[in-house]
Amino acid sequence: MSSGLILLILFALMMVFGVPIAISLAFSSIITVALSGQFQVMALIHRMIGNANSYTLLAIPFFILAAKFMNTGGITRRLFRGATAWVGFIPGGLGHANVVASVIFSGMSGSAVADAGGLGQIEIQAMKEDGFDSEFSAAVTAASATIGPIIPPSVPMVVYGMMTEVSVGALFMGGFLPGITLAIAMSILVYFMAVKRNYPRRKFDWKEVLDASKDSFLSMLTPIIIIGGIWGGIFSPTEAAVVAVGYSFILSVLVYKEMGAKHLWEEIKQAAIDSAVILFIICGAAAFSWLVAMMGVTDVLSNWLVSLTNNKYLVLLIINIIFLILGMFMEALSVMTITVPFLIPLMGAYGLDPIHLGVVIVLNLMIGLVTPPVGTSLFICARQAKISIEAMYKAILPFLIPLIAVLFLITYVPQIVMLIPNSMLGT
Amino acid sequence: MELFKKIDEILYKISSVIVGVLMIFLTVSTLTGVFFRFVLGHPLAWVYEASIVSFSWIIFVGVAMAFKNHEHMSLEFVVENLNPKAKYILLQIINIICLLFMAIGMYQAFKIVGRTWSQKYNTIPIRSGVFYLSFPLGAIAAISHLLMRIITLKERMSNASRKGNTEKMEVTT
Repeated sequence: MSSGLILLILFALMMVFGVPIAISLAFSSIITVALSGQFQVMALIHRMIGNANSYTLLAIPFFILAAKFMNTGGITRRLFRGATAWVGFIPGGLGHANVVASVIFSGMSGSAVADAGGLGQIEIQAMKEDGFDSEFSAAVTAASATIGPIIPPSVPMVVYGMMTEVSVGALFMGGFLPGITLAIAMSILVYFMAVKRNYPRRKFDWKEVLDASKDSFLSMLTPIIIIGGIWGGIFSPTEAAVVAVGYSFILSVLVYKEMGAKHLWEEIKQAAIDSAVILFIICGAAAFSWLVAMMGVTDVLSNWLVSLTNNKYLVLLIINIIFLILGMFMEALSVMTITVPFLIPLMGAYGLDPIHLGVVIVLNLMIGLVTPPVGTSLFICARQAKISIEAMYKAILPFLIPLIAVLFLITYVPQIVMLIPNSMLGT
Repeated sequence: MELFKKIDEILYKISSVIVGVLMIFLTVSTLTGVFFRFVLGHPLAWVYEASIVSFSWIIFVGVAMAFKNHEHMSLEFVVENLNPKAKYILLQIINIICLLFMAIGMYQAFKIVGRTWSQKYNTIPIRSGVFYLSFPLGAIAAISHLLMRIITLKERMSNASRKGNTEKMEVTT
């Protein structure tokens, strides 16, 4: 256990002082192995590289690439136009269009940052032009982007599924109803805020509804292909991801003709680098989590928690609070890769369903993207709306209410998560 | 120094081509696999192994490129709240830690390549060691980029302070 303690302290020190998270994970493991003499450094490096030998993880570069094609190739813009035509007349106008567009985009992309960065740019600009204040526009964009990885597909769920050996398809489908619940909760908030602040709304126009629907029809098919394919058991998540790439490529390059060869090459290259950054953390975490398990650290911590309480609901509350705090300071995937090894023994000890817990954790970590002080979506949206980060911190606060309310709802009403996976798995 | 800069740039360009081409190959081969399985009802056996090998090269060559572009994720609140001198020292320590890790990893990974070189994949005419070779070769590029960062940090920090805060990200790790 003393070696385990050294490992945790070294890792924490490196990470806090700004060493890249992947290196903090891997290098702290190497030093611990060298000091303890229990294992070979080569075994650790072997485990790290060998982690790339995963067909499930292949979904990550594909989802990242598909999102890039959608944002650059005009798909995202068409989605927002369609959403605006359908719901822009409700009090809250483009605020609702923002939420609806995020729901549809979520069915194509597995990343909240891709939503905030790509779709967000279009949404914030359109909302400002319609007379919404910048702070509200940025806040609703950042908050609705959290839906991205909840509704399938989802990059964090791929990582969680790989680490816990749970069906990624079942996890994906477990996120469907919570994602829709989240969208409804957010729209209710937008409605009340819009009425109170007298925000503008658009007139309902049949002609625009028809034009926008026609224009966005092919783009709207993407989530149907992906979610339908996974739900119907036709595609594995990795296959669905590559089909999304193929389809968004055809739309962007051949149908809409909005992406030239140079853009295409740049997007492909950048998708490779973005994927490498994420997967490097996952590889580092593979070495780290193997070592913490081998040194018995995970068992010690889980036994300690079990000795404190045997109440499953209290443990879920503790897990949620810990993740909310970690999410305030750290990037979502990093938190997940570091903490999941500690959760695995808890699942057995408390009878927690790994699919239910996975969806709860992913939603929790997505909330971390919009909670101060470190919230990636907050930074992106504040920059796009040209407001200070302090103003963004203030503007996002009301949106934390529906987010946290839905988090606790799905934590304590697991049926919302499990209904579709159970019907899929026939249990 | 100029020669080293040039070598570093060339390594980056080679890396760009490798990850770009492999990303295209990975996408096309996986899509082809899906097409053959669903439409023609005839799965292609080589797709899995070819995808996995390309994937490992994309990751570890991409990791090196991310060092050059300062794209690796890290917590920045301590670094960003230090005075310039302390920040310089901490950034150099971080760079050296990254360098040490890549060097140790490269050495160990070459040993793994040696041990697995005699084995072959079942469906593609490639040795198993090629999968592991991505790490040490990627590490060579990463070490070059990290050395360049160590050498140019002072210059980049003074440039950033002249231009204000806009280049803040440029000098963080």
